[in-house]
Amino acid sequence: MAGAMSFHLGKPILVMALVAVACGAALMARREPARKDLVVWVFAEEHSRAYQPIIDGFEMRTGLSVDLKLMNESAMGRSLQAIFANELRGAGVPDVVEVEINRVGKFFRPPVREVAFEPLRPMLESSGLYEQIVPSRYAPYTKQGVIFGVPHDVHPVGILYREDLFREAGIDLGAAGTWLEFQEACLKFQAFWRGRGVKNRHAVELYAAKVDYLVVMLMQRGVNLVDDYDRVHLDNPKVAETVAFYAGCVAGARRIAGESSGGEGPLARDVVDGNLCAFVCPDWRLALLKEAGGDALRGKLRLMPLPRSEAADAPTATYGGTMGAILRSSPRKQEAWGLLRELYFSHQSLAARRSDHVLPPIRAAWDDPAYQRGDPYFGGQRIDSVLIELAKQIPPRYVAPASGIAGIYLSQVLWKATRQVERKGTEGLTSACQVWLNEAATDLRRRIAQMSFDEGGG
Amino acid sequence: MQSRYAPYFFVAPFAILFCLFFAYPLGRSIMLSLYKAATPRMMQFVGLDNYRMLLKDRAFAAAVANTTYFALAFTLLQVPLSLGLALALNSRRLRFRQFFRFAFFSSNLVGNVFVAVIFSLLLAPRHGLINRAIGAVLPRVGTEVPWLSNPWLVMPAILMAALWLSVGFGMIYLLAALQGVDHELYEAAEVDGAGRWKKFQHVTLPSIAPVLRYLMLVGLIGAFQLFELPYVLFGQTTGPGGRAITVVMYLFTWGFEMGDIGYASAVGWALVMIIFLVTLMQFRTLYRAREAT
Amino acid sequence: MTRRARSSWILHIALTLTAAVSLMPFAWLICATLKTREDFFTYTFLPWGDPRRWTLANYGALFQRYPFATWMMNSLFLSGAQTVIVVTLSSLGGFALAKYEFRFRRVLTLVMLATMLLPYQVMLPSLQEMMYHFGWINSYAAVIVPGAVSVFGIFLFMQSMKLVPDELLHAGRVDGCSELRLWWEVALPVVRPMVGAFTLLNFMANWNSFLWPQIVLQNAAKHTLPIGLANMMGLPESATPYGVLMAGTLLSILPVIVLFVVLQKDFVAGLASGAVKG
Repeated sequence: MAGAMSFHLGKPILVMALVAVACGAALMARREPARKDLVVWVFAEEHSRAYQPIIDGFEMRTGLSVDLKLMNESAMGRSLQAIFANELRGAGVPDVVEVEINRVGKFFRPPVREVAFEPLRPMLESSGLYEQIVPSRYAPYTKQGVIFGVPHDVHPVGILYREDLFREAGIDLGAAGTWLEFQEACLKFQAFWRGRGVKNRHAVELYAAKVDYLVVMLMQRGVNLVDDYDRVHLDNPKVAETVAFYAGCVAGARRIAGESSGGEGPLARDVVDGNLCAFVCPDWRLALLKEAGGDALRGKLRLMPLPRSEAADAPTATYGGTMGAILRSSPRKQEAWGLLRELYFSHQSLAARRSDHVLPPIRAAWDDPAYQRGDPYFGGQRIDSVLIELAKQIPPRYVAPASGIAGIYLSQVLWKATRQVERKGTEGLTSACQVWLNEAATDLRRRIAQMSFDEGGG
Repeated sequence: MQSRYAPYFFVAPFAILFCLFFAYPLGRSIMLSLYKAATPRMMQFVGLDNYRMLLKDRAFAAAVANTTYFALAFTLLQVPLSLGLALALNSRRLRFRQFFRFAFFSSNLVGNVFVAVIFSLLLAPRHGLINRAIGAVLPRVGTEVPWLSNPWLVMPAILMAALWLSVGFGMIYLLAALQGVDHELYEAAEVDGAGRWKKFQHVTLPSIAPVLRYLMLVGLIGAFQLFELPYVLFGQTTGPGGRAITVVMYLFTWGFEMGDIGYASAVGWALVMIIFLVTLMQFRTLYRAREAT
Repeated sequence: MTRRARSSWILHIALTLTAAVSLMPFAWLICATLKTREDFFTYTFLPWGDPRRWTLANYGALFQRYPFATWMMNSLFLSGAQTVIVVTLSSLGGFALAKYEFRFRRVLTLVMLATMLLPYQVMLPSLQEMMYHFGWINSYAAVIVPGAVSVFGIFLFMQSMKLVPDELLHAGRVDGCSELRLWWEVALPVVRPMVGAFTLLNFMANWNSFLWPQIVLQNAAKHTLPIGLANMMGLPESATPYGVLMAGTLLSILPVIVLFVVLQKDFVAGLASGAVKG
C-alpha cells in the first residue's frame, strides 16, 4: 500500500476521487436521447400513465415523435420560470405543459401579450370545444379575459363523512343545508361521543391557520381574493363574515374542527380511527381515499354537497386542478394543439377517466351511463352523479400572480380571528376582521402595483 | 517550478474561480436589485423601489420576524445545550465516551432535508412519535399537539428539528476545546482553594471562550440562512399563518417561482445587511463583556 | 456508596437517557422502513407481535419504482468530485497564503475575510442567470465549478499551514524539492488532521446541499438524493409513499455515517488543533 500511504490528502479523498470517477463515468456513459418532435411535461404520475397509450396512437397516426416527461411539480415550475426568464428555445424546452392550478398565476405577471403561453381561444372555438367545456372552468387559466390553458378537470368539492358514526349519534349530516346547520349537527355529534368517553373525535377536518378550506367557502360565495384583472377582494364584507364564521368553527366553545398532518395517508388513518369524521373532498380525493382507507372504510362514507352561507351561494367550489398549455415559443403549435386535444378530450381519454371519479370538463361526457352507477364502496351511493350535479354549479376561481401572497395575508387575519375567538368569543368578530382585512387589502394593492407590468394595475 | 512564481500558481485557480463565481455575481446582484424583472425584454429599471417596497412588504416583515425569532432562540439554546453535553462528556469519570460522542454527534450527519422529512412524520398529530410520547408522559396534554398547523408551534417545531441536528455539532467543537484546556491551570486553581464553580468560571470558560464565540457567530449566521427545514417540513408552503416563511425562502420564491430576480436580489442584500448588523452587534456585546471581566 | 460514585452513576444514567432520546429518531426511522403502508400510521414502531407483517418491500420499491440508484450516483459523483477539488484547491491556496510572501497576498486575505460571512444566497439569482448564459443549466458543472470556491476552506488551511515549520520547507528546498512537492510531501502531512476534518465537513455540506442544486439541476436524471426525496413528499393530490421515503432517507444517511466513522479521529484532532477558533 505504498501508493496510498504517500497520498497525503488521505485515503478518504483517494477513495472519494475513485468513487466520483466511477460514478461520473457511469453517468456520462448514458446518452441523452435526441429531441423529439413534440415534448410534453406533466407532473402527475397518474396523468403520465394515462397519456402514454394515447401518445402511442398519436405517434402512429401522425408520424410525429412525442417525448412525454414526468417531472416534479415544483421543479417543473422553476424550469418553466427559468425558460421564460431567459427566453430559451430548442432542446430543453417543452411544447406542451401541464401546470398545477396554484402555480398558474405565477406565470401571469407579464402583460397579456407577453405571457409565455399561447392564447387558446381561437383553437378551442375552431374545434368546437369552446362551448362544450364548463365555462367557469376557464377562469383560473385566464388573464384579463384571455384563455391560456385548457382545463383537464373540474374538481368539484363536496363533504365526505363517516355516515356510520353520524348515524350512531342519531344525526343526518347530509340534511344540513347551511353552514350554521352543519355546525349545529357537528356540535351535537361531538357532544354525543364525548358523552360516551370517546376522546379526540372531531366532527370535521378544518385548520385554525391554513386557509385552503376557507378559500373554498369564499369561492362558494363568488369571492376570489384576487381576480384575473388583479383586483383585490380581501376587503369584501363577505370575506370578513366568512372568516368570522370559520374562526368560530375552529376555535372556542363551538369548535367542530380537528386537524390532520396533511397528505392522504394520515388523513385516511384519522378517518379510519374516527378522529376526523368529515372532510372537504374534491373528486380526486375519492380514489386516493379508497386506496388508503381500504376495507376499513368500505361502506362507511357518504358524499354531500357543501352547505351554503346564504341561498345564492353555490353548493360546491373547486379544489386543485391542472391546465394543459402550449408554449408560445413552440415551433409546432398546431401539432401541439392536436396532441393536447387528444390527451384531454379523445374518446380514449374520456373512457379511461371513468374509473377514478375525476370528471372531465366536457359536459357531454357526463351523460355516459358509467357515471350513473352506484358505488359499493360508498354504500351504493351514486357518487359520480352527485359530483356531476356539483360540477354543473362550480363557481369561477381565479389565480393571479398575487394569489399566493393574498393567501398568506388571509391566513394571518384568520389566525388573529381564531385567537380573538379563544379570548373573547365571537362577539364583534366580524367588524374586527373587516378592519384587519382592510389593512391587508391596502397592503396587497400596493404590492400588486409594484410587481405587475400592467399600466395602472391593481 | 521556481519559487518566485509558485505562490501565484497555487493561488491562481482559487483566485480565478473566486472572481468569476463570487465577485462577479455579487456585483451583478447589486445591479439586478435595481430592476423589476420578468424576461430579458421585461427588465424595468426601478432604482431603489425594490428596497422601498421591502420596508413596506408585510410578507417580508413576517419573514424577517420569523427568521430573527428562530436565530435568537436557536443560538440561545444550542450553545448552552452543547456546552452541557460537552462538559458531561469531558468528565474524567465517564466511561464509553466514544459511544456517547458518536450518539450525540450522529444526528448532525443527517442533512437538513432528511431531518425535515423525518420530523414531518415524527410531529404528526396522534400518529407521530413525538405526540405519542407526549400523550404517554403527559396525558393531560394529549396526543394532539398541532406542531405543524398551529402558528405558535411552527418555530418550536423547526427549533426541535434544528437542535436535534446541531447540538452534537457544537458539542464536538466544545469537547475538543475542553480537552485542550491546560491541566496545570486547574491544579493551580485547586491550590488556591477554588471550588468547582470557581474553576469553571475562571479557568474553563476563559479557555474555551474563543470556541464559544465562534459557535455563536456561526450558529447565528447559519440560523439567519434558514431554508431547507421549514421548506420541506411544511410541504413547500409558507406554513400556517405564514409563520414558516424565512428570508431565504422569500428570496427563493421571488427569484425562482415568481420569476423576479430583481426583487429577489434586493431580498438577498437585505439579508446581507441583517447578517452584517447581527455580526457587528455580537462583536460589540462580546467585546464589552470581555472588557467587563 | 460514596458521593463520588453516586454522582458518577447519575452522570451515566442521565447521559444514557439523553442518548436514547437523541437516537430515538434513528430507531423510529429504521422501523418505519420495515412497515407496510397499512401499518405505517397504526404502529408507532413496528408490529412487534407479528414479524410476518414486517417487510423489505420498501427498499425494493425504492429501486424499482423510483430512480433511487440514479440519485445516489449523482450524489456520490457530485459530492465526491467537489470535495476532492475543494480540498485540493483550498490546501494549495492556503499553503501559498501561509508560507509565501507575494504581491496580492494581503489584498486576497482581506477580501476573503470580508466575504467569509457573506450569505451565499444573495448570489443565487445572479449566479443562476450566469449559468444560463454559460449553458450550464442541468449540467454537473453548475454545481461543481462554482462550488469549488471555498473561502472558508482557504482560510482554514491558511491558518493551519502556518504551523508548518519553515525549517522543514527550507530543508526540502535544499534537497531540490519542487514547490509543488513541498506542498504535497511536507506541508500536507503536517496538517493531515485538518485535511480530514475539512474533508468531512465539506462532504457533509455537499451531500446535504439542496438549495442551489435544486435551482440548477431541473432534469430528473440529474437530481441528487435530497432533491429526489424532498420531491417524493409531493403534492397533496398524490399519495406520498411514506415507507419508501423513509427507506430512501435511511440509505441516504449511510454514506456520511461511514465517512464519519472513518474520519472521526482526524476530525476531532483537527478541531482540537485550534485552527478553527475565530
